[in-house]
Amino acid sequence: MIGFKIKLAVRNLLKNKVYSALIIGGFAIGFTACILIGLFYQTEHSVNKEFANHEQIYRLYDIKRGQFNMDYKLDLPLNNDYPEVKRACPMEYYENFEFTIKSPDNLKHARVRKVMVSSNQFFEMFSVEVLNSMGEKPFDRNEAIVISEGLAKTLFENENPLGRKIVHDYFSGIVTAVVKEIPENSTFGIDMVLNVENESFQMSTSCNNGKCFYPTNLFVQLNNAANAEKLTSKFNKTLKEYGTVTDSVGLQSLSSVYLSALPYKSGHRSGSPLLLSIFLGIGILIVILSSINYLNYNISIQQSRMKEIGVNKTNGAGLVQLLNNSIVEVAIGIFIALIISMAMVAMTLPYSDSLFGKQIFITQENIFNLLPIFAEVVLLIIMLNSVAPVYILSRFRITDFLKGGKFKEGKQIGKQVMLTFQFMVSIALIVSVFFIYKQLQFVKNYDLGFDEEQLVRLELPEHLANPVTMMEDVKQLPFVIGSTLSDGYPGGIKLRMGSNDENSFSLSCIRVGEDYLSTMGIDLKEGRSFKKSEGGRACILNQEAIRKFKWDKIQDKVYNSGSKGGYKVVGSVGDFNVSSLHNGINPVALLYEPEYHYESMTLRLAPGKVGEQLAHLREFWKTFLPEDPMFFTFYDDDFQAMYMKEEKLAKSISIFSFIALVLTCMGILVQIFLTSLHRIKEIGIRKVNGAKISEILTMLNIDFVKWLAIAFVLASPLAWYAMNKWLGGFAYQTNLSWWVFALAGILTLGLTLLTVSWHSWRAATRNPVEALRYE
Amino acid sequence: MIHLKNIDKYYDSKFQRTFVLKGINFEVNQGEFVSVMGPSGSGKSTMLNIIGLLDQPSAGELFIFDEPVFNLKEKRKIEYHRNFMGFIFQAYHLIEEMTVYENIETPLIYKGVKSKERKPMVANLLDHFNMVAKKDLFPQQLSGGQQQLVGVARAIVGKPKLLLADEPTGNLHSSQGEMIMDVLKGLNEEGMTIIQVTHNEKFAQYGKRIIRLEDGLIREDLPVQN
Repeated sequence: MIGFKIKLAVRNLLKNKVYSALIIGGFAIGFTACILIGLFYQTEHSVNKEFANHEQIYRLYDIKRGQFNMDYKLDLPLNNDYPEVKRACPMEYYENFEFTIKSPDNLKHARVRKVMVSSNQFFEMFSVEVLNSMGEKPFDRNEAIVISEGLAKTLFENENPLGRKIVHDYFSGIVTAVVKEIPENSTFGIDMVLNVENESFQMSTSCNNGKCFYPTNLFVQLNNAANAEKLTSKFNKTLKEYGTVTDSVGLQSLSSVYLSALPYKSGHRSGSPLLLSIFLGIGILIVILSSINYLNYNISIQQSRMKEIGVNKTNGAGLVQLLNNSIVEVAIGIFIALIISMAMVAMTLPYSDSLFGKQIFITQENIFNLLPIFAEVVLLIIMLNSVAPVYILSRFRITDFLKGGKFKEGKQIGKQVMLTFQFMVSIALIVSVFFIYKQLQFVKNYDLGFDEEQLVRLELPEHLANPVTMMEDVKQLPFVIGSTLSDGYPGGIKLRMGSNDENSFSLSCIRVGEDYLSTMGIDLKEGRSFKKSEGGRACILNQEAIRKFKWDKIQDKVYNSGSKGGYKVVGSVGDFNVSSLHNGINPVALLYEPEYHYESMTLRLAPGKVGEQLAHLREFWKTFLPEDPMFFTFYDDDFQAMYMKEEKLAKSISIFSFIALVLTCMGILVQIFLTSLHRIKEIGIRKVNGAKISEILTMLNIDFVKWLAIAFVLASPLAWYAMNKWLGGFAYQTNLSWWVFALAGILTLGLTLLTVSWHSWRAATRNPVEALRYE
Repeated sequence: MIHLKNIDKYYDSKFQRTFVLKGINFEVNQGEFVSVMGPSGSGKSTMLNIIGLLDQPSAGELFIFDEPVFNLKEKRKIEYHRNFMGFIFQAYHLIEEMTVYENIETPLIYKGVKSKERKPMVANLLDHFNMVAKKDLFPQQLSGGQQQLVGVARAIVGKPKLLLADEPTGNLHSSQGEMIMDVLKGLNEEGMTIIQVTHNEKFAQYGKRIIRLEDGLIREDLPVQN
């Protein structure tokens, strides 16, 4: 019985090969997108869950001071004084800075990002596998450094890394253990772990009213029986006793570190809950779009099969039997689509990185979590698709069915509403894609206040004896137009100082050497550039800083900061920008310090072959620093990279919008196919009575255009609202121009007309005799 | 067996009521072969649909074996369709996606006959109509007469007591028509009650009784004289 029904269903699918393929293909595409989004969602939510103890691990945060960092001194009492806490460890973690480290024995270099300062407890808390170690614990001495397997390979190749020295400009230590890397799907990784007990490893200090301490994140692992809430209130009653700046804390579970709901700064990798919900929304929309196509197709197919249903009813088929037939047929189509989409998911998974900006993993946990949801969705779609057509048809009487072709089409409001919805989604998505790209172009081409083309920055090592000589000598190279030294640079500010007046705001400060303005291509707006004699006593401000100071003129003004009696303001530059446009333009002060020991050298290169120029630069570098590798960055690349997130977002949203558009087109195609089927006789009669092909095409197109217009009117304010919100994340925004909406509308209109006409051309050019032959 | 009492069927439009059937009264006994004749629009098919429970009368009463069957629930109607009557249509109304065998088998499936029992029943009929060789063909691959033969086989495979035929020969040329009528006559002789609607005077004579309808009224109700 079921075998027979399956056979029938397959025959039905094969009867309309083109449209079955369209519908099933469309559904497969929709489902693929959805599975990928589901996996992405699941991956984002499974971050940090690979640690065996992850359910017991929490990060402390300071509620009053609004940050994760607190005094390292709390580490000891956390470990000793609270029986609920199994162990605690500090974690100072960076990924944003690159550290250049060196092995002095073999002169090998490595640049590492994942650097952590922590204690022995860290390895136990996060179940880090120690591959090789000198002592019982990974850190067995004060200057201990633990490195990852990968770093050991880079620095020491096949030699034994244990006991070897590692040197950085500011610290040095001994490798005491080699550990396995942390699972990829975590908010942190380790290239190198430094022993927190060594003060030279502690990389920051925080001072408050003259009292200074070492700030670090603190993680605790609770005993299995301990209750996080109770412990929190216990902390809040007792933490004061330890005399640190922290007296009220909260606990953030390890698994929520990634999609943190807390607005505090953190060195850990983080995902965007907003982005995730955007993707989830798009996924749901895509499933709805493809279900609508399927539903429309099914209802219409059933209508074209009214005769069959009528016959079955006279033969004694009840609603249940009709429903059974319908379910089997729908289920087969959907299962075929599912199998195709599984294959497509398997094929696209390796490229998920470029789709979501993150590699997606299929893990057991993912599958177990997703399977029930997907099973429910599939079941729901099958039920909807089988019940709806049968329900609609059951309202007709048998004699209507047997009359066959004379079935009246009626208004079919439902179908048109669904089509309008599809149009709406497509238009809104197209508008969003256009605006995201428009904003990207806008921020990328925004005047940074300096000329970022052909501008390259070299990082000088701390031990370079005289940077100024190097800076002067590099000018001898024929392709170097200008060179200058600075501490900090646009995109990497190292010093922030207060305004020290009643306006109290903070300035991004860059210490600069000779020729800074000319090399960077910054135009002076007012005043003059620095004089040799003013070393350490003069500064130039940007417009934003002057606005914040509420000065009309810079004459005789002094930026009262530093210890030597402040910097005289000698000039001002335009809106010189030092960070991404998310934040807007910061007040900037360029402090003239020709005697400073600089670590960044900026060169302006002549236009030419960059590869050759860099090769010559490398030769030049060797004459000064034979042992150190040269690290360089182009400023324009650096600034482009600030909009990486938006670029990825634009890319993935455009891919999914494209899918939505394709699905909508498929929906139109199916509808016009069925409409022209229903109206075949009408078309025939009209032609016999002298209608031109163009008139028939217009007649068939006009309905779609009407609904498209309604969709456009509904979609535009929605898209406008969404884009307005998104642009709110940028201090500098592109205009929400009307023409983008118009363009999206025209694009959809064009596509619709093309799709409709492609099919209806055939219907319109047919010989009317064929259509009218049968009664 | 079947009793129509004052059956009316009308459609209301804005200003007037159009009668398709008006005050139809007649009875059909078991074993009869009734031919209903009349010009187009005289209400023949409507009457047949009412008897076949496919259409509702606007007024009047209908009894099958003295049981009232007007205003039946959908479920009870299906019971009658499954067990009591079979249909033959002018346009055959075979299901195009099904083979000959599967078309004939359908009513048995709805009736809930087990697969093991269905096979011999369908096979018997195929044999009876000399169609064994064609059982795996699809309807489009058959001639009109053969298609109608499948239609007949499908109508009677469930062993109904009543066979309703709506212009069974309407789409066929005369020799094929005769073949179908011979089959119907044979069925009647085996005891099946048949009501057929026809335009064809000659084929009407195959029945035992002819009812002539005109403008929704019975004009004549006479036995066939040979």
